[in-house]
Amino acid sequence: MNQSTEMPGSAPMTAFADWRDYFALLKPRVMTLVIFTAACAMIAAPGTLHPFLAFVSVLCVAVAAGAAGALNQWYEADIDAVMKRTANRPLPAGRLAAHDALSFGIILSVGSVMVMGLALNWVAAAWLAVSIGFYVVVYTMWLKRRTPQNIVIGGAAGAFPVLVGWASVTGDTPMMAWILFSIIFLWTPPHFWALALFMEADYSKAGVPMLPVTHGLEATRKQILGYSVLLVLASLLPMPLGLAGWAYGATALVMGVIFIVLAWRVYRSTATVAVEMLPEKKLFKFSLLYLAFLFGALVADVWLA
Amino acid sequence: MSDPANWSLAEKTAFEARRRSRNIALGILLAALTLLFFGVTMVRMVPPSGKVQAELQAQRPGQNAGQSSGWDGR
Repeated sequence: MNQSTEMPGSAPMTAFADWRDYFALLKPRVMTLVIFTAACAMIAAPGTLHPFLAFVSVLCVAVAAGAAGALNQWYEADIDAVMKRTANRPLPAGRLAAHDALSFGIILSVGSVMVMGLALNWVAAAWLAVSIGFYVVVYTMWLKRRTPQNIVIGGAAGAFPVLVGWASVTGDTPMMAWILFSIIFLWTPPHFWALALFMEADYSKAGVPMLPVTHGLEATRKQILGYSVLLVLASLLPMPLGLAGWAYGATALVMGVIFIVLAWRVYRSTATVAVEMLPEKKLFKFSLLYLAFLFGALVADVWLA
Repeated sequence: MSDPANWSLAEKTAFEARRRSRNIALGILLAALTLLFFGVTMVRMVPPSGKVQAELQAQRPGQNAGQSSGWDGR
């Protein structure tokens, strides 16, 4: 757990926390993906929503994601302190006290769920509460340090905002919402394991049981390929079910083929040091583009209809 | 926590600058929340124009004129 940094005879660093430190707790870069997928789900969902309420819904999803990020940082300050990528976060760097981060996370969590319930509907609010609880309790506190499948479980946490976005408009979560959920759920393992392959040394140092650390590079590459195939199959599912149009279908097919080709290259790769892991870096970058194009096509389908 | 009375002048100045920025951020946040609740109240309580109302009714075939439960803010 984080301790405030205090030099003898001088002011504690935590006394100097400013708004930027609180903002950094929200993990704003992670938030963008969540906002994007939730907003696309809202547009794709049948029905209409007042633009201001749509804005409130996206805001609640963003704040809830930030709150979950703050609670995650509060719990993981010890791991963050030993990883190069995270050592300068406000808690491990000593700019913010642990109890301040905890209070901040709880207030934002409760606030976002209440506003969602009062402004939109309680189904969306319930899914929002589940997403925060799942990410903080199930993923961060329970499973992240216990199983190398932590990324798969974390994928579910990242997929909940799609259900929230859909439920904001319709008040329920039908088949298409769950297909979108499964796309993000299955997208997460190849995306993060590709990153974990070339960041393996960092995770190993922090003692996080990431798949490349516990089962080796070959097993991770095999799992990446397996999840990539499942992902592409799930992304094509709306077509035979008649739940999406041609723009989505064509994008899912083309991008899916590229995704599998890149995953296959990762599978065939034998690189053991980060600088040589070009296929892994390519897959990681393309996976971001893949999700953006897929959900963008979903929105395009609605506008073309 | 060390006694603020023992802080150096540079520390006091830095602390006050940070506290000011935190207070300004909090003020902006409270103002934004006020606007948010005002906006939500207006959207949910003020019924839309007749045209929009008719479109919304058309999307909900179960709610004909006789069964209308009133404007629910959507």
